[in-house]
Amino acid sequence: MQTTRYRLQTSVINQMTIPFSIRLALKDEIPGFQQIFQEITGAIEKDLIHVDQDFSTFRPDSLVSRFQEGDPGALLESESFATVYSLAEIAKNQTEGDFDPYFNGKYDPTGLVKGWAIQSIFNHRLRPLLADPAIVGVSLNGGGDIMAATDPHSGFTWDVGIEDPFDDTMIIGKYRLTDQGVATSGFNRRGEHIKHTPSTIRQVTIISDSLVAADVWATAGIAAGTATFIHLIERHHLSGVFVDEQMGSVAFESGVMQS
Amino acid sequence: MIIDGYIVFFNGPRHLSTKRADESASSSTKKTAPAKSKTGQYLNGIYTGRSVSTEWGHVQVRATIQNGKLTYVSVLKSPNSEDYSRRLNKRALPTYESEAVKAQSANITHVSGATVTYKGFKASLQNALNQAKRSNESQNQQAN
Repeated sequence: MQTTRYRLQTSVINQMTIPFSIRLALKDEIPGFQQIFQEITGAIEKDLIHVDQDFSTFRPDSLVSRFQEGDPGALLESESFATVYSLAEIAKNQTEGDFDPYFNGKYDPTGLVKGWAIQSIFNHRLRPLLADPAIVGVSLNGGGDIMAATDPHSGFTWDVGIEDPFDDTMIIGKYRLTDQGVATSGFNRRGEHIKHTPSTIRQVTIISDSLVAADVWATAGIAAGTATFIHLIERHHLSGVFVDEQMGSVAFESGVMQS
Repeated sequence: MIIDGYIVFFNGPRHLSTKRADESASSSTKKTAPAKSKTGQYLNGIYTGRSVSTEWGHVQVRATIQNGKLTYVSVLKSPNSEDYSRRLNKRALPTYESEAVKAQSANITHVSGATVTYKGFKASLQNALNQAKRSNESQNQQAN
């Protein structure tokens, strides 16, 4: 066994009432890196402000609010709005209706906007940094939804703890991410954007190459309830872990329940 | 030429055929904004948005507008946009390691949980991880 030490660079942005943590892992010093990191943080903050302006359901002038009023402009003129609309529609089909952007009667894509935003911003602003040989890992965590990538030759991994829904000082397990997305949904803090059926399911974590897919399936799992979700896991070859009041923690890999 | 065709197309018939909408969208990638009246209202018709790229292939939205309002939206998918999750995870995903421990004693760099609001962030696990002394250094053990 060999232990390598890495320097972690961290910054936090507050947008959409969510904390976004940007973390980079460096194996060597980079001259002037503090300023570069500040600029990247500033650019990501601007990206997030735009996402909020476009997709907030609390802003009457957002594209989502205008769309809800029947204004076709956003759908036909904004590439990001059309993308999110399409992703939400595909997600509804694929999750057999358990992810439903119209669950509240009005179009509300909040259940996947965060995952989409993190994935897009990560791919645009952070992933390219891995071209620098001194940077071995890049990651973006928005309120528990995470995109992470590493230099595959470095051996570095982003070790992500999965929070215990009954005790937030504890973790129930972890994933060592090399180039994946992880999303977790639950009731304990922000269930309001999810429709749900009465169930003993408390938390769903999904790992995937796509954070959009992870976010969608985590949301769908909470909405579906344990019994239905187990069928979805098998049919759609999902990987992750859910917490049920009666079953405890149940991990699954490519649709197969792990004992 | 394309611009002419475009104007004719959108000022033309009130109900456009699917085929023409698709052709117009693909032949003028940046000119998919629909026609507006002098008052800024969208003219009646069926409009196909520009093709956008997603992890499930290319998709386009198609909107039906009547009296300036959206009355119907559909999403046009490329044939390979099906099979949502199987297509995605081309490589093997990391295995879950069950380990019920105090988060502070686990060697982790991130925590995934149900969304933390910023108000609660100061007391959150992720903030503790960000602030922890060892956050300046991360140790990764690897087998040689």
